[in-house]
Amino acid sequence: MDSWTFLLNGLWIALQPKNLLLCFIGCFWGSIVGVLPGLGPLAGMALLLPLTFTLDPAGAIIMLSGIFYGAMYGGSTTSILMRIPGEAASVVTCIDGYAMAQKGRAGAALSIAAIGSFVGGVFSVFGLMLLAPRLANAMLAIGPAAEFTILLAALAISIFAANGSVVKIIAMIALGLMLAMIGLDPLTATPRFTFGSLQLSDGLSFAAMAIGLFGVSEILMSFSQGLTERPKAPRLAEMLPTKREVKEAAMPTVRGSFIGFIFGIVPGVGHIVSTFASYAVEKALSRKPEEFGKGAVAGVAGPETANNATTGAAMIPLLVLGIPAIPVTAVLLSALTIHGIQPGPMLIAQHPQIFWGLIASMLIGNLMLVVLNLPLVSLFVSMLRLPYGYLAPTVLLICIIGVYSIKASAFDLSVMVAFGILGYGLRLLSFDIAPLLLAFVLGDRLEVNFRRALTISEGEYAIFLKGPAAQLAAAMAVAVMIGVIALKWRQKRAARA
Amino acid sequence: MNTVSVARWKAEIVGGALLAGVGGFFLVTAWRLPPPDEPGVPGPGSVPIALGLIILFCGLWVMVEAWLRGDRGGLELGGRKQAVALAGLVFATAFFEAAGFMLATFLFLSAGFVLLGDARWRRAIPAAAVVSSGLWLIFTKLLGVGLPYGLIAEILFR
Repeated sequence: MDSWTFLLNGLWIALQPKNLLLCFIGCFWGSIVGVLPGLGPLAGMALLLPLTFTLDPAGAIIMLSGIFYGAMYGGSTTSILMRIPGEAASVVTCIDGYAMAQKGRAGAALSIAAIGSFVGGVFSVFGLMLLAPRLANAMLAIGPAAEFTILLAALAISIFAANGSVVKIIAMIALGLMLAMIGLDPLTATPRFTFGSLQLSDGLSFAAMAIGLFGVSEILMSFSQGLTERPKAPRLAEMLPTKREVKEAAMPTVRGSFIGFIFGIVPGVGHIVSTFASYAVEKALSRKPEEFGKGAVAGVAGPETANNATTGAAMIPLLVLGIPAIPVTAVLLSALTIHGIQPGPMLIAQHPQIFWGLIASMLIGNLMLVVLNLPLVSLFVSMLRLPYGYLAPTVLLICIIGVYSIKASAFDLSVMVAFGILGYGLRLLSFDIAPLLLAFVLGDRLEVNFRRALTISEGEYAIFLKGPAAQLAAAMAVAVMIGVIALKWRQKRAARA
Repeated sequence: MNTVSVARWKAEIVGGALLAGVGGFFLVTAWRLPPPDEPGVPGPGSVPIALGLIILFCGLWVMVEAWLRGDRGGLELGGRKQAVALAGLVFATAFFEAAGFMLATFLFLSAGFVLLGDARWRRAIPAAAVVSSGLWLIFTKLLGVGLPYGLIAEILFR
């Protein structure tokens, strides 16, 4: 069967009434968490993660990925109307989106963002469909040494992608890896750092950690960022862009799709880099660069398209390599693992219904979001009028329910609170917590592959350079390290200038 | 809102010291793990020892860097609202099983709405009751999630 036949099968799975409903719930909840400042896709997904346990794996991943790209859509609403990015990837949209709103073109900006997001999302889904099976076949040939090197390279890329000083990022990666070591040693079953506790023998709960680090700490941080502006929702009649605006948005949308997709494939880079890159390209190519920052249509269309194109492309490292390129896909990885499914090169062959069902659902979900977001913009805006003092305790309560419903464990609630405080403290001190979570997810595989490779070679470190797969992985890792050092040095130099 | 502030360099030094302490703690604990079965092949403690060293080193680096830079700018640690939210969260999670979902969340929400949302009690109490009951119904009846009834309900109804 070719990719198109598989896609048709996937569409059949995604169009099942139950999966359609789950896709809708995911998109709707994603739009809400994207709209609400302080809650991003990660917290939104982590909160609903426990609810997926009662679903079949395909339904679970369809709903969770719906939250992911729904949040990307939703994030643009607050950026355009209030100049507050609903989530980090919408920062760039604030610049020209808000300027368009100030000129009375808020509706048009929202439409351009929604259509751009749709085009970017669909483009990345086709890219994922064509590229992923080929990459998966290539990945089947690699052994533990090459896998260890690839995982190490993925962590190295996160050094570039993360914010703050390199030492602090390395500390977060090492801490995440160390936290992943808590529990029974996967190769010898020796208890490590459990201190006689039965609960710690199973290791730390990923959901409790993720909700604590991102959900709880985000709420605590948000108290310092008071929301004073009362946004006004544009009427439906004002949503249509003019012919000139459509023309101005066309090429940035095409370019944004390519830029977003390319950046999305690279593990660790993610949405922020792709949106900024798209903005920079549009400004460089524009005949009127002076309009950027004052309501340029291209400044909204390009980054918003790139943002959603990155979402689909970010699924490639997860589904093909089993590497969560960004923390959000780490939650997807966790959901699949809980259902007994290991993402990686064998996923497409062993569970085609999940892979192709997800691809098809992303097509449907992107369309659903355009239909959902434009008419419901008033509803989302009205949510922003809710006093934060009412919203915060309710979200914290949902955090508690989310963690408790996994194992009915009071211990996990304590873990959530502890990581909430830790996350808050770390963010105050400018530590980026995303690499910590990424390292926690990859820690187990990284260690197992490292030790397996050295057991096979009887302690010979040369195994990490033996064979074409290992050599290619090592060359990639070295190139990544050099790239990271060079880019960080440039960033530092630019900051000083 | 009254907030607690400290000099950034002092906070960075404390943060670095805590990080170094965590690294040192893991290092010492990992050192006590059983040695590898074969020489040259990493055992259960090998990777944690290396990680402990990295964390320790990074913690010390952060401390030294903060000391040398001496950033006198203020760092807001938080204010009344953060303290209230944290205290409420600790309370709600500590008594979640014993008091049961309804009671623990009702108290948590009522206090939260009053202290964080500056609502009046007569408005906060019905709002908390509605949100707790609504969430209970959504999660237990609609989504099939098991939430605790608590000791009070056990005593009253059994």
